[in-house]
Amino acid sequence: MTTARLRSASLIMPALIFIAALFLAPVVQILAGSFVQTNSGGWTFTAGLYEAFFTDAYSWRLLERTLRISAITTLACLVMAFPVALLMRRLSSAQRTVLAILLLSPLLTSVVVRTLAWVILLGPVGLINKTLGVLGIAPVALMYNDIGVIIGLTHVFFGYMLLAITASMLKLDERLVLAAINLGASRWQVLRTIVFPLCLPGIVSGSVLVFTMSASAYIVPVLLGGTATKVMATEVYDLAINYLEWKEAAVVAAVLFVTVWLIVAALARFATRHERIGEGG
Amino acid sequence: MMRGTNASMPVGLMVWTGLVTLFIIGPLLCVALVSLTPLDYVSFPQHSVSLRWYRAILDKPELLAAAFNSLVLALSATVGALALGLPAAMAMARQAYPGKQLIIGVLMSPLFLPHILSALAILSAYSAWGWSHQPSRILAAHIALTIPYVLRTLIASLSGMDVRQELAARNLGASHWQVFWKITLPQIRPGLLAAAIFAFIVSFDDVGLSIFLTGAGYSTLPVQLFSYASYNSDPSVAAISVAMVVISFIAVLLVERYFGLEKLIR
Repeated sequence: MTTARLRSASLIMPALIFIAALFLAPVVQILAGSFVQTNSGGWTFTAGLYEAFFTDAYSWRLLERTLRISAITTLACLVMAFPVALLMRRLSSAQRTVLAILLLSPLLTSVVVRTLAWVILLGPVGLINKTLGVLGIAPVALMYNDIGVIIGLTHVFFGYMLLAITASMLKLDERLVLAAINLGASRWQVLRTIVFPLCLPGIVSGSVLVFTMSASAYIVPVLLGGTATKVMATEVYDLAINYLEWKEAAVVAAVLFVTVWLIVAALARFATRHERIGEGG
Repeated sequence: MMRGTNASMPVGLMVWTGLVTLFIIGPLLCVALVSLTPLDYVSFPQHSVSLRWYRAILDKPELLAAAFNSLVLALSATVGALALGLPAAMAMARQAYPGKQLIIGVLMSPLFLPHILSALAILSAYSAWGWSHQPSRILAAHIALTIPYVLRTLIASLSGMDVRQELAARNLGASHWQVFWKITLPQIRPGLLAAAIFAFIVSFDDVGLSIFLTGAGYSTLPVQLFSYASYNSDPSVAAISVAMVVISFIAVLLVERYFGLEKLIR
């Protein structure tokens, strides 16, 4: 028994140590460092940087915009993906593979490439505005604002939502649906009382993925939002790389991380309670 | 399966799916068209197509250097992630071990921590440790970043195989190494290939970590494309994009051929 344990420990340890030392330790170090002030005598514990962050109205605007954009993106992905997942369930295996390749392969292309595609389309002299110009319509601002960022983020993260919802959709027992139909349930009732509740785990995990990734996305807000639409992630980069204020950057990143996971925890809790009610009823 | 016998395909769902597909694929097709324009600015080719913007890539040495860096980096990260990930996946898929949740939490943490936080942390910590060699810093970060993908794919592959063959071989006196080489490895080869392709793509396409860890003298293709596109908007941006998409798409087809995209969904 102990040799088996030793063996599995020796197999896991290299990867574990590698990630703990070279990935997690830096994160712990920078988070701890953001609470520490070094002075001539040594160091003192202080939450001063966080206090400074939260007393600045500008920070609150950044946080609010980041969360709003992420929430809208998550909702857009959900509304787009759920019907597609419903269709996936009814397709043959071959058809499903074709659709999956079409919709998921962009997931495997660089975020930069996909964002630039939207720059080409949405830009002030982009393809959409050129087409509008030919039709005699005044150009519209589709970029360098929240709309552009939301369109870009939705395009970039849609695939994760689809993967998550389709996964739980395909696990759904077909006999439950058939039984409900045999018992006289309408299509809408089946959707509302069987398909949706049973897909809730997929919907939640997809939403968590899209929300967290949107909130910390950097490339899309820079390219499609420009300097006008600053979010938390672009602020972190600016502080760290352009102003070399690493501690301030760490504070922004830490606030973002904690806020996002508090929201996720609340969402997950709401979902499990909802699930339990569904089971009881 | 009773699928498709009574209920005809719901038209509404199909129209919606068509629109969604257009939203996802359309922009990429536009980029492909723009990359073929003979004109000097971003436009659809109207009377003729031209490959001049693909030729223009070859005139940008910094881009070619970045492409070479990306290729070397992605291949090295793949090897590193497999070397660390395969043993871990075998232990995790087979044996019960103490502290399972904690270990999974640590190993998967690169997936859950926002890149903007981990990238900043890695840059600041590695610099504080006096580690300034850019290619090796970014390689370490990429290996950590790709390990979760490798683990997920390999664990799925390992739990799909018949454990009794391994047990039979062990009973007949084969050593752990013999079992691994003769029984386990041949069976998980498709999963191993898929894991390698994922690791390659994740590393090759990464910008989140790379943008913090690259700098003067060392850059990767996505970072170079990003900074080029921040200042220029000529059609060569489209041509470079198409080149990158083609590389990724070949990888996707390989995954589908050897592993099956279906398994990713389930």
